[in-house]
Amino acid sequence: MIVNEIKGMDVKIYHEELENGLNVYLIPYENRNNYYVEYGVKYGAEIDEFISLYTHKKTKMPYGVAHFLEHKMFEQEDGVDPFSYFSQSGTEANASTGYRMTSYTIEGTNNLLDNLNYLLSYVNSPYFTDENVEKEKGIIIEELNMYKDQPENVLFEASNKALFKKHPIRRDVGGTPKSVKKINKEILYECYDTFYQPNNMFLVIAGNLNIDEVMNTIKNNKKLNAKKNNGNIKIFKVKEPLEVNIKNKVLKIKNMVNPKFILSIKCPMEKLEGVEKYKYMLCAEFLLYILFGMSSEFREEMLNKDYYSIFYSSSSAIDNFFIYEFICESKYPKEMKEEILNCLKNKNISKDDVERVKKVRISIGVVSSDFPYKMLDMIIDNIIEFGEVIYNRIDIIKSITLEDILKVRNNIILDNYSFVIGYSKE
Amino acid sequence: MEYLKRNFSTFNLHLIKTKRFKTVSIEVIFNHAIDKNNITITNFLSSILTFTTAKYNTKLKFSQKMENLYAARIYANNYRVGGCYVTDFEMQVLNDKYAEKGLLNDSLSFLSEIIFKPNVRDNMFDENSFNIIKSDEKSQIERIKEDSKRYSLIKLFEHFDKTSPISFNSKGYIEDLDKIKRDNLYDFYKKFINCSDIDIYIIGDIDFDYTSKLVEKYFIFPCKKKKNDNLFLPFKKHREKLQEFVESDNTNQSKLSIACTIEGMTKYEKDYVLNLYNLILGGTADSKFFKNIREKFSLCYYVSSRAFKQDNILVITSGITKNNYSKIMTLIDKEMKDVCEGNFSDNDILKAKNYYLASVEEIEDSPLQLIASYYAIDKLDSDDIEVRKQKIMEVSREDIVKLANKVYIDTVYLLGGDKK
Repeated sequence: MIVNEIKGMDVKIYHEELENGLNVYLIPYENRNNYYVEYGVKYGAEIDEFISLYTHKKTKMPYGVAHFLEHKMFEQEDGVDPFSYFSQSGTEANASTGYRMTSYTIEGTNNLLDNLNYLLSYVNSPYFTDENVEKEKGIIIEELNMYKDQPENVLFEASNKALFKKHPIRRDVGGTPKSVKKINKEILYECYDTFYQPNNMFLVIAGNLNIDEVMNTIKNNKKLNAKKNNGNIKIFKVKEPLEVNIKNKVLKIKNMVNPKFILSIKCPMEKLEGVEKYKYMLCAEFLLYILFGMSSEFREEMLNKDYYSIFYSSSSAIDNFFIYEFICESKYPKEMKEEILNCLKNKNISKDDVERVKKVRISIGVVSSDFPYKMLDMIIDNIIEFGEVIYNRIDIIKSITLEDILKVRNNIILDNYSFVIGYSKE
Repeated sequence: MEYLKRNFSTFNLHLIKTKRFKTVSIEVIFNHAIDKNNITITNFLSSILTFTTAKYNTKLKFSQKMENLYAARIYANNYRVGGCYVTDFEMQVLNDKYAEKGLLNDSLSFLSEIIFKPNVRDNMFDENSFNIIKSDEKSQIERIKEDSKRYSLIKLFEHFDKTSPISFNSKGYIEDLDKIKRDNLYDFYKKFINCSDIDIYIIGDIDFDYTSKLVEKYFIFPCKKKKNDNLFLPFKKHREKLQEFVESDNTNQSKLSIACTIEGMTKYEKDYVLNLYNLILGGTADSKFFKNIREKFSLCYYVSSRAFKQDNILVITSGITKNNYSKIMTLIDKEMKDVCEGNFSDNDILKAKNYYLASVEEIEDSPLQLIASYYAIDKLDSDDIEVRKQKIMEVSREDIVKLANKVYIDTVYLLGGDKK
């Protein structure tokens, strides 16, 4: 077991890779009653073509299988519902599916070892029948209907469809009612067995815990021990062109009272890993903070012009692209868009700006270390994004220079954007 | 954990010392009797106060000041508790130990500027800030329609009882917004600050004497204090026949919202029995609603209940396909009758008690929840954490059945789901 300390945050992270390949991270807190456990698999909605463990052939699955699996893991052969099991000790359980991963969580104040043991057991014992798979479809379709009525969700989906030509991010995580209806128990078992292997999964626990007891419980879990690794999983990614799919789009969206838009800029990104990728993403984040953050001149000017009522920006790495995204509620979408692009292109930034953002970033990090669940999220985000946990983050933040940020800024292709506006339908 | 309450002539100071957190959290809480006509202007005022001050008179200067306080955060929250409208200025800063000496002093000084030195000239709020906040408040009020869950609850409560504070929209009203001017806002500010019921909470690894002196130095209110006693609303007798409203809307899913009255609850029932009743009925993913309506019949993705002890109501919500409306109503009715007849197991009670215990234990992990807990002890006569843990275990099956028989479905509102 390796112990790493995140300096400046007083947080220790214990890491061990088990013999079966499962990566375990523990973040003990003194003086906390609560614990958080997340057991995750690197299998989400963006994976639909892969080499199946059953046929050893390239296989394409209906959309929404990862999400369907998440729902169905709660079905157990002995008829005991995991929610019911955890609630014996007042523990809350949940699960969620994203584009890159699916996770199963529990949160409670007592009975950690027993609950952990149960979590590892139930996620490692699928029980799918024709009947229970069929029954779930009604619930999932209601879930999809719920999202379809959320105006912002409709706008986000339209924006992803404009930005990408082929990438699975164009679709809803849960698939469509049509694709959901195609899913059966054979498909679920095939995907489960292919992806739910220890070396494709991780386990993170934060809060009130004892390292030795927890490790002992994990290592003695029968269901987990019975799991084998079947080697690396081969996944096929679609070839996505650099050029955006649709540059300008105007939509009428039911119940969207005030016009909103999403401006996304699609930039190429060289293949980076670990610390290098962390540094790149940090530079982009700092750039956005300096240009468009709460204390930016841009915000002040736009507010004075009454150009927005909601405005925030974010950046993300998606395969070999780097995306800058601006989400805005505005009475003047077109003018606001021009202002954003102009600022991104022309606004000067100084060394002082960089020092200021570093101080802010470090302070926010210390505050978040007060919350075990935020540390847990950070670890998982690191595993998925960088393939490792970035322990010397404070040193990296301190090392960033104006030149680093300008270099990242230089990679922005300003006119390769998609601009999607949603107006009220009424 | 140490707690100290100090009574000043114009407000109460509550200090909580704990080594659990690297931050210090501060809340300045104004408690006014609710008046529907003042909701919009109260929201407006708290937004403009946390937007600029006399000294930091632009958004840019204000934000830079926050950055200099090691990325301190400030929020103004407005919410209803029973018959009161609470405005709470919340600030979170790093403990001096993790930043620099004097940060708490500077932060309290800044928070007092926010409250006492607004961006006002010639008895009027600054024009630029005023216009920005006005536009922002307007879009916030309008945006409610984008959230159909929330919107349908507002409609439900309007149908339930238009005159009750339960139906007041805490985002405010466009008609009232139009009436707010720079000068009448300042008049309102003077009245607002002249509040007779103010509490200040500070939690963190703090020194009581030092912190107390800082507060005394920076917070000088004009009014003599007097405790507000409107925090619990009287219960409303249920209608003889439940009323039902179905409104068409071209959406994919129907939002089902149900308001139930709870008649004649005792304090003990409000504080303890109601929690267990709600957890068993629809408060968790292991409740009767979830297990029987979602899991057994696959009729929805969510169906849950929430209890509001100050308001004497229970609210049930779900998202459904319109055709299933009567089927779901029958099932909800059946589950509620089951609890009335005692058709639930001892294990259900034990599980609900364990949920309750875990949620009480969790309070100690969060500075804001700890403040809320001490606030409830002070204002709502709630018991402290240790007593709560004991008393919940004493609740019996008979207690739950007795309470269940005081719950009546009063108003049902179904919105949308008409898309073909």
